[in-house]
Amino acid sequence: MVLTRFVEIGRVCMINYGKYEGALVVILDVANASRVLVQGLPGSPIGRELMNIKRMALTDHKITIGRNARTKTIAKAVAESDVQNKWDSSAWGKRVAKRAAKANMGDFDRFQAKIAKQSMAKKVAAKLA
Amino acid sequence: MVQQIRQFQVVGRKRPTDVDPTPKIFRMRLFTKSKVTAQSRFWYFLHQFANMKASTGEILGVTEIREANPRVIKNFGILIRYQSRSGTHNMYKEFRDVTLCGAVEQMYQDMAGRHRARYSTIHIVDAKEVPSGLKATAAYNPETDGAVPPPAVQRLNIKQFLDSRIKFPLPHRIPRPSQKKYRTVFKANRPSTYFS
Repeated sequence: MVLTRFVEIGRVCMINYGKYEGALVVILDVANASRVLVQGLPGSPIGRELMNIKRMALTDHKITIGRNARTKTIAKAVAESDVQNKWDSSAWGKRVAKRAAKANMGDFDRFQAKIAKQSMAKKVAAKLA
Repeated sequence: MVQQIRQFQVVGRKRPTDVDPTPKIFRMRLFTKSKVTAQSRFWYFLHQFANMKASTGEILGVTEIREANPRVIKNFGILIRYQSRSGTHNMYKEFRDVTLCGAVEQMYQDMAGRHRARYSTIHIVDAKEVPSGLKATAAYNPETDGAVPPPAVQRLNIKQFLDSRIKFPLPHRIPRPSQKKYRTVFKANRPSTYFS
């Protein structure tokens, strides 16, 4: 079992607990074995703060920045490495987006989903018959 | 957990009298939960150091000292004097945090966990930022630079994080539900601790 995801400066992580669940952050510095200094990706409401490693999941993505990089430097590195698109097109990213979309469904969306499911089932039944 | 400890600067003196119209002014930095507690602790310490107490003295000002830059991780060295079950001891502990108050909170938690020492039995003698001192210590030569080594982080457990290219994996991750309401006593499948 080779370990490929590391807590390191520039590692992109997804927060999986608390208020900002689902958000992507970048590690800027390590305080100790349990806390890291993170900042949200550009456009995220998360500023620079110390966060517990237990609250986040390491992703496969990494950007090249130095320790305590400035916000502008981070934005440039994120744009260069195209992390947001890589995340959105990854299986994990798609899964997270799908779950969020389902949670945000309104009554009409649920009705549309129901009709879509019914019509699909009808076609399958017709094919099997 | 919301950070509760804040740093206050309390300035006070003995009330001026005919005998002593301009008494010496004392200033203390205190780590407490509120301004009120800070004033109380000020008198607690002052009446041990000087001949004054709350009734004979006056507090000239209480201001909160906020962290200048809470966006950078710093190393803090805290010198404490605490009461154990069998005696009172001095201790020097180091912590890495973004604010001095954060480091002081860590210290109280650490002392409680390691030594069962409570807030009331701990006196903070000094709490200040310590430079990492890696370069300075490497370049230090006692013959040319003097007997006192440059200020640097002392503790190994802090030194191990003073690496600009720090990198470590998380080999054993305990899966945790994202919300309290998803907690269950029994699970359908065994958890995996790899990349959880």
